[in-house]
Amino acid sequence: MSVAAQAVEGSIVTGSMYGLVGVGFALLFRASKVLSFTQGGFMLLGAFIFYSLVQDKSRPFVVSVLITMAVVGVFSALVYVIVFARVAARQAFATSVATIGLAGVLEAGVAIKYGTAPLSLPNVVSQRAYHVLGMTIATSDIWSVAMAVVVVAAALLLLKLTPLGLRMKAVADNASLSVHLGVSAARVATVAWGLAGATAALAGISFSLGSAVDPVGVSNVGLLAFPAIILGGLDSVGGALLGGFVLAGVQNGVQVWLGTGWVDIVSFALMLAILFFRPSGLFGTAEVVRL
Amino acid sequence: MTGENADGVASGPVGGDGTAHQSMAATRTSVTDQPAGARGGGQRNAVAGRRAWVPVGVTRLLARQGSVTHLVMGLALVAAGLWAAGGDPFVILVGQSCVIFAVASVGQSVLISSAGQIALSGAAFMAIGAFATGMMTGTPLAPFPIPLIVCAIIGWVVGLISGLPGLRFRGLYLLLASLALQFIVSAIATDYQNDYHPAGLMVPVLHIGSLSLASGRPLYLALVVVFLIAYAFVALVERTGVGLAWRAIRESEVAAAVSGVDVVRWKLYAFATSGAITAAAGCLYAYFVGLADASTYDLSLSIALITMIYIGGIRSRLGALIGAVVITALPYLLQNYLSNWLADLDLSSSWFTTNQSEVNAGLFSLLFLLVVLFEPEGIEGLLLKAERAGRRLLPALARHGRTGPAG
Repeated sequence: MSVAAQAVEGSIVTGSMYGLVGVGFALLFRASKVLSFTQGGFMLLGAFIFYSLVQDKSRPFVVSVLITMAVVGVFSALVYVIVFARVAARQAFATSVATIGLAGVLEAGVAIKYGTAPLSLPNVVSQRAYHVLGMTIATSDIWSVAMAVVVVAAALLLLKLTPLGLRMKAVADNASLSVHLGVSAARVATVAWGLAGATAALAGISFSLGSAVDPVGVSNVGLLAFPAIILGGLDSVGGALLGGFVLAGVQNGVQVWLGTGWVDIVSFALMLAILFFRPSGLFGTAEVVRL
Repeated sequence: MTGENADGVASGPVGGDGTAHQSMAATRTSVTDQPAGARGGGQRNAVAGRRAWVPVGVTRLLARQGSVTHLVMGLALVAAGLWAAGGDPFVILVGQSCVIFAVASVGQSVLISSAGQIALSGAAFMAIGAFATGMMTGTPLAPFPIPLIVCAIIGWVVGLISGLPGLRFRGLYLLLASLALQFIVSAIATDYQNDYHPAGLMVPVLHIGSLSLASGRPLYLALVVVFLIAYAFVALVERTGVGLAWRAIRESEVAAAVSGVDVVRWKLYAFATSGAITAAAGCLYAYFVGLADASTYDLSLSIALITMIYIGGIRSRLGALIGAVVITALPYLLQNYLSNWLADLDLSSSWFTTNQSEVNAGLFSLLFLLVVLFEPEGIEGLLLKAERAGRRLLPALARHGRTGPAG
């Protein structure tokens, strides 16, 4: 087992987690120009709901995952309808700022209910590990990567092939014009919030499978997803996954060569650099401001 | 008009009637600073003439929309400050904390309220101040006013650098850039602390020459003096063309540039000034706690600082102070009194005491969320609404008084 090979494996797993969170960011940003700071909060919520669900081992693993995604997705959509809808349509930036508050509320709620110490999951997936090309691959890692790839593929197909995807594109391009053409921007945004919540919950589960239900760790992934999505481009679903892989690779490299203390510094310095030189990221559409 | 403000946060609340009027009124008082000019000066003179027993200047001042609100806010702050100065040690302790965060809040308000650049890096600048103070301990730079000044200078320089991304974009991207700065500074501080001072950097008690300002009233008064200097500095600067340039940039950068405002220069100065004052607040906080600890200056502190601005009122410096006092004092009050109240009501307070920090964090986040979405002008906005309602009611009441019972 070589260190380098294991680092590559770790990068892919971590990167797929960033990608999972990032998909939600990208969908939301496309649909409503809102950058949600709540994704970390929804991750946390998903991780803990999943934790509660798997306590009694009556349900299969996949059913618990689907229930968690549905619950968090519906909750996210409801939050949008009840709290944000009135303001979000007109003031995307104010809504983005307000989601910082929502994240705090969710984090506090979870901390009150479950405490702040990491909780370990029972063995929900097989504990087998595979040894390929000098890497040790745990089953949970395969699940994490598979989840990310499936979600990203599904999101891309949704955007490309379905009427909903077309509506999202229309709303992203020109919200008021698409409203005049009979597309309900509010409904599109509600669906986007629901999907963002569901994918964030999945990311939370993915994180918990690999280590434990750790509030600090989950929140960190939610925040470190920012450099990843900026790297990929704010409105690019595929870019979110790729940005996640790149960021995770960079982080692992930094950790090996410079030490753990440098990971955050380099990650966010990278984000600053991209914001500065190429705000649209690798795959995002450049924002044109008309005066 | 303010309604077309690019990022929308600083503009009036959404929905409901009369909001356009409100933001226009706010603009008129805060931007042009001469509201009495165009509309109905003569009428007001007539009013003043009738009530000759009040000096004309005072009536004119009070007739200005928003003046009562600002008077109430200012008096409340002064009263609270004086009350804290004469209070018991606990009250003074809370007061010291409030004053320090008031300095930080003023620093952030330069950037957020005046120049309209929403940034999430307040805690980073406080960390810079605190750590610089910790590092100066034991060096020839340790005697008191020097660390404060050095911190302000460092904060100015870092602020200037942090303003560079702000030149390229504002709104969401600036928010993200400031978030990155927050994490970078926080990570550097944590690394430094872990490598050299695992328990945090010790900061000695405050003393000027042989005069010890360790705690209690002397420390409180010293902090108030520093606060007053910072506040007066900002207030004076904003009275000049600099303040006007900042407000122009806030309302519309394009319009400001077209009108000949050097947007690049004044925007950078807004970042630098804000950084300098916030770093000074970090220096004071290090003296207050006696320790510079990286874990204090995390993202949640940045969020707390921006919450202060929003809850107090994003339009004004007074609002930032009110917000600082509310956000700083509320946890102490809840901690001290809520348990007693719950006990008096025969309710169990154990749930609250065990989850206190989480409850506080959740409460503030919720407040922040609601204020940003539904009352972006915060407490000041609510008072302004009340004042306007009062102004509408008063003439009606006076008429009623003349024609009603008396006549």
